[in-house]
Amino acid sequence: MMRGYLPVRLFTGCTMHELSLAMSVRDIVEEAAKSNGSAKVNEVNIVVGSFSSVVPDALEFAMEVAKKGTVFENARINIRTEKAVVNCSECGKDTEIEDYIFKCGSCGSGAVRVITGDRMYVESIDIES
Amino acid sequence: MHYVELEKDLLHQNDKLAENIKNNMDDHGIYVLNIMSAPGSGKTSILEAVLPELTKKYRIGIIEGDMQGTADADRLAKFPVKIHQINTHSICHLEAAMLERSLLNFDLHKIDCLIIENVGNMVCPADFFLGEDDVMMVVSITEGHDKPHKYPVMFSKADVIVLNKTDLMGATNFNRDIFYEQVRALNREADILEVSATQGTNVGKIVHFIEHGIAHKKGHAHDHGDGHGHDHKHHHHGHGHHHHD
Repeated sequence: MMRGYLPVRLFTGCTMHELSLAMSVRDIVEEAAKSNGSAKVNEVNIVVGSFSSVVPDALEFAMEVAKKGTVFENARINIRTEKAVVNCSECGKDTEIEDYIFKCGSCGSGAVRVITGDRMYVESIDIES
Repeated sequence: MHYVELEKDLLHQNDKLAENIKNNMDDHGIYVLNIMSAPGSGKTSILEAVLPELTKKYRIGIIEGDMQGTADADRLAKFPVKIHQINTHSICHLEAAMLERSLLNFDLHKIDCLIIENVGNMVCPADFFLGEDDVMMVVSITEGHDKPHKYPVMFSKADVIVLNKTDLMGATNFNRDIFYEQVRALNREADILEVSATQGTNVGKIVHFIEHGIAHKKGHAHDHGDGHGHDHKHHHHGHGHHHHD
């Protein structure tokens, strides 16, 4: 399957991967608008986990490029950061992670797994029907 | 006006393609290793060090990901391997769609192991699953012992971490203890292999890791039997993304 890329040479240096992700947002929003019979999207709500490699500012910038000529050309783009939370497999408690040390805040075990904050997703859109 | 809840992952499309690649590779019994690191950590030097041994026993395919040029592929051209170069231009990582197209250049019946040398970058490649069995991350002494803390996502996803250029340990202020402590805070499982690719030190450990992955994959492809004790952490993991579709 071929995916279209915008002319990334517009940017100087490494675009990181926010532009690729912005193009995914575009696909998701266009498809969702279409399946809901809408030709105009007013708002796009995106959630970025703090334990993902995305820089929200860069994604916001990339979205300005990605939305050109789409059903959400004039939409407001909201990007919310979601904190990373790990769950302990020994005591079962959840701990919010701020310093990238994967450790249970209750029992100190390192046997933890990220349950929130490693995803990037389009949470919702506000459409005109 | 009304709200439509979507909960659609930005990486959904990539992950779906990568799953297809993984299934295809599983069907062919091909072990896939995705190597990631910063530019200049020694990914290509490591391949130069392990290929003489690996190619004696196995048929190796290599995908070289670089923003521009064929310098790395040229360095590996002397080995009896099938190489395909992907130039990503301004894109700083490989995506499953690029890999899918690249794979058209390989006869999957004729390789045992596919090694993907990702674009040199510590950030972006970590988010893009390519259908690999294992992620090998390379970090070198000269980059400093605080790399895990600075690039946690990649360190947390690695199945094996190669600490390269150990011959330069004495010439830098690299603190081994801090490095291990930081890695273990993020990743308790990954093997850490200390090597010097250019000096040939401990290169056998990397060869062993890859051979083990190949043997394991072949076992799965042929008899689904797997009764051997494993020293290595070849993970058969998802890849960290939770899907909510």
